[in-house]
Amino acid sequence: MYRPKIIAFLCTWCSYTGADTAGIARLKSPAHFRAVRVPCSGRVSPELIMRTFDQGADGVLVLGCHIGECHYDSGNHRTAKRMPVLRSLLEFAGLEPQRLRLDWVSASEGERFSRIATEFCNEILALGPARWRVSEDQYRTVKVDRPPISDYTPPVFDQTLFDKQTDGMRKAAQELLSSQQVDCVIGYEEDQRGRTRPTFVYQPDDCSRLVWNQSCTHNLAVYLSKKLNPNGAYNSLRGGPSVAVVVKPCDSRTINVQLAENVYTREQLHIIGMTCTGVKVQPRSNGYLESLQGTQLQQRCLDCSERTPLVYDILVGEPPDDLPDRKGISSKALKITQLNAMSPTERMDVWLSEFDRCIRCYACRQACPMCECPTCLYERDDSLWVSAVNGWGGVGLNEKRTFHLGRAYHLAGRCIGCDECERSCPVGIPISYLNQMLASEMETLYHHRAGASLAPPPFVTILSGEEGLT
Amino acid sequence: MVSVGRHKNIDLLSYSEVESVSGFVGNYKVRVRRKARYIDETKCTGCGNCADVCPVGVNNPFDLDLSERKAAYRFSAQSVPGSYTIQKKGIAPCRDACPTDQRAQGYIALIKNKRYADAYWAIRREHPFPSVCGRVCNHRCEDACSRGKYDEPVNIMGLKRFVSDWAYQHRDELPNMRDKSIVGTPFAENPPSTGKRVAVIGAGPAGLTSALDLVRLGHRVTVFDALPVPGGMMRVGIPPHRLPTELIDWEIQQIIDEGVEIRLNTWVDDIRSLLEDGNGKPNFNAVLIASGAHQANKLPIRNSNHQDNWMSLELLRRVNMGEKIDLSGKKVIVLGGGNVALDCSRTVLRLGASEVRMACLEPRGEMPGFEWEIGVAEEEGVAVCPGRTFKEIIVKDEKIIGVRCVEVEFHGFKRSRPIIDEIPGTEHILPGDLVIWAIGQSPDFSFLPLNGSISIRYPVGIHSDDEMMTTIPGVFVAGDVNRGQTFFVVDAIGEGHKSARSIDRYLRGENGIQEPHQIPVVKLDRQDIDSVLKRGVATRNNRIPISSIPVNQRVHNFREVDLTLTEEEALAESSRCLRCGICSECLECLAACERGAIDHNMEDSIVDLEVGTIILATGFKDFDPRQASEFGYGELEDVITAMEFERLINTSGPTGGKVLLKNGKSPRSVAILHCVGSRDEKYHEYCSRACCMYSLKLAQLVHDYVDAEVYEIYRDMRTFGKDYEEFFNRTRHKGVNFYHGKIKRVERLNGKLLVRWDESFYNQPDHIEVDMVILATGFEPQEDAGKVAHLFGISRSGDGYFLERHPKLAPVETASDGIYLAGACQSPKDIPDSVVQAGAAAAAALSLIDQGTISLDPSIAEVITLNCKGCGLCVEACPYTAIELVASDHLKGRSVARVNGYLCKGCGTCAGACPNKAMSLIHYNDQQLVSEMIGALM
Repeated sequence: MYRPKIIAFLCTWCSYTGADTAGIARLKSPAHFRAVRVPCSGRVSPELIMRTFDQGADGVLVLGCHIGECHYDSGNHRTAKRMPVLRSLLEFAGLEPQRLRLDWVSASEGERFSRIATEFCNEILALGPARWRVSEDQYRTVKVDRPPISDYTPPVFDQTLFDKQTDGMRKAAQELLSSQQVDCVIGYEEDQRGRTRPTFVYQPDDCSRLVWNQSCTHNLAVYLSKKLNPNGAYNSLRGGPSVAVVVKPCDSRTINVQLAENVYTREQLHIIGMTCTGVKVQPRSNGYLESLQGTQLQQRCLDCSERTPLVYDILVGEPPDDLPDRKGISSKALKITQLNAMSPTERMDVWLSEFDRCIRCYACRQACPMCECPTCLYERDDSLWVSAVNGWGGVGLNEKRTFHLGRAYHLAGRCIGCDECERSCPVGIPISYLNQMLASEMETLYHHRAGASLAPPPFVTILSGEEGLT
Repeated sequence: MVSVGRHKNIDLLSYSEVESVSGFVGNYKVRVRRKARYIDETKCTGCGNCADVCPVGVNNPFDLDLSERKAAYRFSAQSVPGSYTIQKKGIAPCRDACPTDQRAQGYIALIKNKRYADAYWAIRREHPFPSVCGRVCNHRCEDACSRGKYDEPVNIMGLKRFVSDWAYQHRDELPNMRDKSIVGTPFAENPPSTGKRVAVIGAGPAGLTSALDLVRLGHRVTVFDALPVPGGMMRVGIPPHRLPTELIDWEIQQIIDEGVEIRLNTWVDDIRSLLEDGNGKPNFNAVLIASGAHQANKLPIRNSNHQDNWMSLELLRRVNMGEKIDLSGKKVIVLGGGNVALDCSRTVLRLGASEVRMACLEPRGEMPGFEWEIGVAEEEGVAVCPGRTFKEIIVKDEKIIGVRCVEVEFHGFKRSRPIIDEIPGTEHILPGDLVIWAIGQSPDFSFLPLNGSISIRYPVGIHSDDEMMTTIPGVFVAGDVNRGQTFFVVDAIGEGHKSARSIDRYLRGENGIQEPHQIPVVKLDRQDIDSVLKRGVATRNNRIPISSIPVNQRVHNFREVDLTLTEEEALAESSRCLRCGICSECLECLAACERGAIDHNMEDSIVDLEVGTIILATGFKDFDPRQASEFGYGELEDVITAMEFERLINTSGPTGGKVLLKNGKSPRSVAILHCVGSRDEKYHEYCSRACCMYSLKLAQLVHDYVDAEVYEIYRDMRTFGKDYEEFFNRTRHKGVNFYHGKIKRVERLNGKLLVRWDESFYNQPDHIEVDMVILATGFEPQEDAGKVAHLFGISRSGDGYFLERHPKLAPVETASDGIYLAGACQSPKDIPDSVVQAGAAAAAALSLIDQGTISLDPSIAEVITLNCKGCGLCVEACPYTAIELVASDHLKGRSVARVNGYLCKGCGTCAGACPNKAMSLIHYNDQQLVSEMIGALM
């Protein structure tokens, strides 16, 4: 007979006691349970849940105190906000959503505990064993269809528009450098082959190197933390050097996120904001789009209607107003809908096929302005979060998936969608789908848009309204 | 209570609110807002004089609104501390709007209490000329009146006139309460002399107000006026049909009686000599110029110097001085559209003019005169010809035959010059043989020093600084001459007060009186007004307008046109006042208080306390049975709550201890219904514990003192405590009827209350008819319990009460160390239980204080600084604000999280939130949890 393995994380004050109450009352609870006691459901980190599934659990049940009754005032509020997002991420990656359940049981509700436990067990029994933990030969490699490409023809802008903006940018940079307001200007230049690349300008005379065009795809905010803290130390509490940075509207939201996370202080930064007409498809951005290089706009720009940065000190250029509203025409949104329509098994095959190509080069992480951790959780040698089954630094499929999903979860509510990770991926994994799916989830659930303000991500705040939701 | 209040180690901060709590056990910092009582607790003896004289009645919450108390009140006779409090939300908008700071709500409240003499003296506190402003004011108080947002503002001006007329009629028997009316001001009647002398030029409202204030401060004041009568523009600029002269004269006489010296017929043209007598000795120590704006203007058009061009002020002055002018048969054209032009038009009509035309530049809707008065003038027979400019006065045979006019399009004023476009082809002649110019007034500056040492802000008045001082030190200016044109009497009085303060400061330096301090203004929105009206604080009557004598009885004489309100009208109108500030600021209490404890300018103060432990004993709220319609409370008469019954049967209660029905009779039968709001899934699931016992007590009271048949309808009789069951048995043996049941409905039937219930016992009734129903209401958490819990960082249980740390092992502790619970804020309980818990809480707090040290749970969060990126998500996630970002000493100053071990309670929410798992929880760290989980999966 199939015996599911179910891990239940029980809060010690309510649910664990509730389970005790059920026992004292001689109520029957299923035997497939393995309870792990935690002080508060707030202690249960999403990484722990992902790890539990990685280790072969068929279901995870998180039980805490009822909202408003938390022994720790509001620890369970944070759990209530994290779990729906984690569940949609795992569902998107191919796990049946029923396998993760969050509920509330108070110390006196033995009967409720027993009912929830039985219900959950029956559900898992009906679903059968989870296929989550896999080896390379256990899944079906599928050829992933690429989404249809939008037939939108972007308007062609006169070169003088960009020349004018380049001039304005150079002038601003020159003044900032010569007045020694900043030590360095981070902007774009053209290399010998005519490709646009990031550059650091230290001398006022060198400002003529700077350019602005529709190939300025890089999110320059990625350099800020290193540049503003030259010792490799984060000096947000002590101040540090000043740097000017050229930003697009999307990049400006990165700066808001970084400011909210104390990466540096606003005073250290001088922001040269550029009005944006969209960025063209670049070489090596998703292989399948290569034919459109230089003509079509990038997928992220197709869905974007921001023309002016949210935060800036100097604004260069007039916001173009003759652009049609392009919202909702990108193929990315369409592909996410397609994926959502699949069965969990199909979806898991798709994602495993994608993740299998990953070589764990971490280019995505390096390109990401939000990935700032001193040593990445998934690269530590304690084998706590990714197992060492395949040896140190092993490239097991489970580990690759854990890395990508874990990174996606960490970016939820923080990722501003610059898609630099996807562009820099040498094997073309569509990482941006994960990020975009979570971003829209955060918007629907918590009305939170990354970088729209200096607000912290919703996971760490309490439920809105005095009493909260139930 | 009294011994608590008197204990030297107990600081009782009543009428206070906790604003914020920070710190941790042993080191709490509590910020308390002490609300302004407006009565000094340390001086008040609780004699109650203030409440005796207070004219404002409000519902008495101690008697559950069954009786009234005053705005100056003590919550209950047993209150500790026993000092009184004034219920005041701030100053009323009417007072705020008035330049003289007139406390309109105050005298309206006194009128409502028929205390007209008190009202008169309350007005005179700020305003020496009530009869003037009861008639000719532009009543900014009414514009600001909150009642205007509902229907129409209170007729404040009419009420003021009513009081001043009443005072004038009763002038011989009017009590002299001058000394009372200046209590609370820096003034005194017959103050000790300061030896300083002040000269005031001009005996108008500004000059006389200032003179009166200065005399009340102990200065010697001499007022000079060029006219043969005092009063300035009030006396010679307003025609008698609007303001009878005898009233003015009476009010000025009162000012003279207080010691102001007035020298009439005296033209001052050497201000220097007022200040010095030529021998280097000061004649006067300060001079106030308040000479007004007594020169009417005219336009330099052709023939405007013809002898039949009269000036408005000239005409009014002659009429007011009693000169008989006969204009019968004259056709008069009055040029101007303001209030002076209206006065002139109506005056010449009374002088016998056969036709009066009033012509002005502005179109009808924009004329500066009051709209209502234009209507009245038209009613009396004045032809209004707006929207035209005057080109020339046409003279034929040395007589004026008319004014040539052109119609204009008017675009407003720019720098007091009109912007107009003449409309071509609209030239016409207004016929008439006398022209009266009333297009504005300006001050006469001819008496100023010729050397320009008092500089003029041409063309508007005399230059003055913030202290109202002119360019010569010691010479001040107030009133129309300061503004350079005619304004309203209230403005002049306001400036009179202000200049008196400035002069006093000039003369006495730092000892001089300071500018008054103002507490915030109350603003009622539409919702507040509705609730005020609903509570019956004000009546819903319409505004009572001022009525006038019929036109035919007034156009040919100078009888006063407007009538005063009758006493009934005044009483009705005064009860329309919404009492925005609650306290009306009539300052009667100030005069009544023998201890000088009252300070109407008191402000909330903030007290910062450093405490080691905190005990919360915030109590409960009575269940409001209006939510439970089956009991009929609020709809059916004689359905009352137990608390209301307690007040009724209390000898100090609203009925003096008599239990009466609404119809005034004693009830013959009473039903007491248990479990109202408790033990009911619709309202509260819990048992409120205290109700059964207090119901039994009420049953005995009814049985013993009311002599009525008593029925207790109960669900379960919960007599759980010591001696409780015995009490129940005693009650039963007295003959109280006990019926088991769950109440279905209470309704009225044939003048009785019919109570029906379910679940009756065999052989017992399931309904009963009684005279009175008492509802044994249950307990509820306080409305702001959520806010308080958040403030102190403690949790609440599902029913909303504060949550103890453990129901058995830590029943008075909370999740926050050092914060304890006592009484019904934790759960419903009766008095013995509350006392027990309070003792336990005190002992727990004391043992902590006595130890001087605390032991902490070892399971707290810790930071693995090497992995911390300092993003601060844990800081946001921590429910106890136990985490802060600091610059690490080891990591080149990198900002990292640090856990305050005293504040951390070990929930691990931070560890769950940290993206890089740099936050861990001792005894529940990631290594342990992952290992446990992996082990569990094997």
